[in-house]
Amino acid sequence: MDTAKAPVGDVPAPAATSRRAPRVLRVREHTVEIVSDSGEGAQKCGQIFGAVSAKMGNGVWTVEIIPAEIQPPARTPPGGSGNRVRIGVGPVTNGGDEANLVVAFNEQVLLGRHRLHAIADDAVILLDDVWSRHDDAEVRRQWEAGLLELGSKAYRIVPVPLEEESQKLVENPRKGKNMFALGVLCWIYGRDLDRAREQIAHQFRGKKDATAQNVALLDAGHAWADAHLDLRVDVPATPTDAAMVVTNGNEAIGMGAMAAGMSLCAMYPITPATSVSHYLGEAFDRAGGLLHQAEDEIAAAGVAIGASYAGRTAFTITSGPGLALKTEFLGLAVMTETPLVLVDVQRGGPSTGLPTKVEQSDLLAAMFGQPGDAPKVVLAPATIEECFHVMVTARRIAESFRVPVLVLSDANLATGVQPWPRPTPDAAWQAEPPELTAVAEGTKPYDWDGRLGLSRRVAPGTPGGMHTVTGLSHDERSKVAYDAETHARGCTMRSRKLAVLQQTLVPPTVVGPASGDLLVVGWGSTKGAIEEAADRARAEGLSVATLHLRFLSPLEPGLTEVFRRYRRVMTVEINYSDAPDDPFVTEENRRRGQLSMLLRSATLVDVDCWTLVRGEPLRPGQVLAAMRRRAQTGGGA
Amino acid sequence: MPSDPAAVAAALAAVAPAFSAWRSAVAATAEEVRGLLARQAAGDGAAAALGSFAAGRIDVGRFVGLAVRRAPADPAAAEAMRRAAAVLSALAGAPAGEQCVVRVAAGTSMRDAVHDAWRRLGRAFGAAHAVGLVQQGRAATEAEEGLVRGLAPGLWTRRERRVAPPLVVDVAGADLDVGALLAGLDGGAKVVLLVSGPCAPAPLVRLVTPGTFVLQTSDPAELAVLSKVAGPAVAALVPEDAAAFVHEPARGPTLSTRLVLRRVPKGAGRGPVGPWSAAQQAEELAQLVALGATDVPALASVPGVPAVDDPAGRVATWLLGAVDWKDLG
Repeated sequence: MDTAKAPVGDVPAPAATSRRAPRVLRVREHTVEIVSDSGEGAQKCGQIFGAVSAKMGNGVWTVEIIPAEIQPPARTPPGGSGNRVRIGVGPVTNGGDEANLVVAFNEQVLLGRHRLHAIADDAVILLDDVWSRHDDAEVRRQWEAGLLELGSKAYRIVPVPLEEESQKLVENPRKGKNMFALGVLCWIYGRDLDRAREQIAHQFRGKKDATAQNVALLDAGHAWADAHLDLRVDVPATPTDAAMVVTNGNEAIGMGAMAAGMSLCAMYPITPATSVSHYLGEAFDRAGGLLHQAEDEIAAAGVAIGASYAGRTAFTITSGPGLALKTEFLGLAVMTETPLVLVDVQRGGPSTGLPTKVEQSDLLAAMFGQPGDAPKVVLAPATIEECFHVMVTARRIAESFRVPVLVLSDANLATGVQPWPRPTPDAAWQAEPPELTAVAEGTKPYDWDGRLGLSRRVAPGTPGGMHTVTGLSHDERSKVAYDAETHARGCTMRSRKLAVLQQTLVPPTVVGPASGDLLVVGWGSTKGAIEEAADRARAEGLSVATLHLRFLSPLEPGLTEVFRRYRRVMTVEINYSDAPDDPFVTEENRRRGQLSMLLRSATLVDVDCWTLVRGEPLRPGQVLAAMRRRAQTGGGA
Repeated sequence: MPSDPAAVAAALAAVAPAFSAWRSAVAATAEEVRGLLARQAAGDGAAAALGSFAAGRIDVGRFVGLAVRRAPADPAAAEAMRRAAAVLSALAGAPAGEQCVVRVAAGTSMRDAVHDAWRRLGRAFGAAHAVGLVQQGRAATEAEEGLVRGLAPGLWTRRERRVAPPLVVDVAGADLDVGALLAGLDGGAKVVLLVSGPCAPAPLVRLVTPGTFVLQTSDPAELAVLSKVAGPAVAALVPEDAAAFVHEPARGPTLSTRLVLRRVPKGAGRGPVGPWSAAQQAEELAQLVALGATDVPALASVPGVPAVDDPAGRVATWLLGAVDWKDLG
């Protein structure tokens, strides 16, 4: 691909008169970004492009580029909205490092990505140059300054008249540029236009006029590219006969909840978790089930706990600030030993923090965020496919152990789109309702097995099992009891369950050498980036292995023994940690990554950490750099 | 005199989508129950129940040993499950012509014939309920056995009524008793009446309600419209001297827009037909004509609740629209 630097402030005219025969770049993977002002539909363009690529048989991972504000000012670098789509010959597990091709609706949103180092030095940039001819002199000045700044890199900037061409078909080009851009991308990447048309029809289902107009824009973009562009990219697709689904993580969670037989979801809208309820709202309506939008986060937890106590399998879904509000009710579920599944789609914090951006900062809050001793199970899916399957396991554990199970997803999984094997639902996933057969009169609702801490669940209405439920310290009959012995026994029984669960877990699998210089431990959505980085590190001759945890409370067994086989152990996380050489930071006061803290206390191994809190998914190149430093020097990352 | 095969075929084609939906539901349930039985036999239910996320991460044997309280094997429960599975499999396997066509012998009760058919087909829902009882540890009770023997439409749940099995009823005009259909004409129920011999002129007028599709015609080709109706629907193929009309709930908010009279026989100077006196027949015909000329917007708009013109009607519409009707069925 021609990576010649475009003259600053003097973008070449559309190549209509000088178009060469297109050259085809054949690569194993390519990353494209579409970025626009908020409301111009770049996200929809990227979503459709990603879905079409996945359906053609390419590996795909998409990352939403979302401004922190709902409607940020137009033409501002931080206000860019869009999508990164990484497509490959084989499976793609993360968003990659830098974009190889960018479609930008204006130079300001492009600058936003440029300043985040999200674009490769030799990237091809398709930029709408309508702004260079704008009536407003200030806009023209911004254009020239922007291109001057972009000139610091060797981008090949190709002008594309997105707005002018779209205006030929639609009155408001803000509502049409995205589908024109999609047509351009389909031409460059050789995407199947019929599939693109089908996907547009799916996206705009129920809106015939919109579908027809968008298809016309798609075709126009494709035709324009065919007449004017000289670059094409071939990322060979490998179609499979296996049935696949293409979803984001939130949709997968919703599907998984239904497959697990959860028939009630109580929630309150919160970014980035809300789209689970959008999915369930439609799906429950067709298949049965109840989506309850409560008046607030606290009530949502209460409804879920109440429904679960009454025998229905219920779950609630939220994000960090909502988790904080649900704290008291979560304690009640622990105390009353009511099964509950709570999904926390993590975002940047603290407080309302970064609503649309990814972070893994809720781990310790999920584990310890209650006053009093409140043991809970914490699971973390690592892929979009696991977002589906974790719901089945979470429900089973919650009901078998009468315990809240927290599932930690994050904004990266929530909005990322990937093809994954279509699951075959199993009736056994839909666990039986609680046993309602009569019990002997006077049966204790907390008839703890003194060794296991487990007891039979007595649902309301069970003949012979009448009792009063309470959040106060209680004895086995659920009678309020403040005496020392009773309280201590209750704490022991509730805690013992986690130890028992941990004894059923299998030691985790290490990827890479069984012993060596460096073991990198991760959790959640970082798996793809970490494992890709480790692959690259091993290709460079470094002795690096990885281990990705799914059970965080209780922790998977055998970690101490595994850690001791490596000279260094380091977690990689998307949460905050002090750099060792920061002012005032010492070994003693250094705040470490959350998993790192957990592992140090559980294993007494000197587990280091490397973390970032930039509101972005980790890039494999960033992780690789940290691995190199840690493996080669042993120094702080 | 039984209806001709072409009419039966047209009727079966009209209810084919409804039959397909019902049979799919029954087949899926049968598959689930067979899966439960197979897992019970193999003893691997716990592994499956933990799901794929647990594979390689949880030692299932240990999990079951420590955390799963298993009821001792109950032969009666297993037998009850097998009974339910057999009923479901039989119902899922038989074609519509065998299951849905009810022939009312001359001089016998259409009510009994129709209700027997619904009870027989309702065994599918009863079997599913029975499996639920077994899973709750209430196997081999009288209730469970009764469910598998038959379940009347009055006991079907709202969701079951949405996938109600259709019926094609072959009946002589003298034995036609549309009141027999009331118990099951709900949800997604579809009924086609093939009426032969002398017949009252407007028997189906008694079934006209705001949400029910009602078609009385002499043209078998018209029955096909039933396949496109989402809600409850009844159609009768009647002799040519009877009235012809259609009441389509989807056509509009008022009765006059929904009801189209295509043919109204002149006069009701007939003798009795079966138990229906000439006066009763005249009443039905008069009612049909009156409905065709009537516009009662507020009541007619329930539960769709579109806007109407007069203020009182708007208030009534609003009040009725504020009521949650969906749980009434």
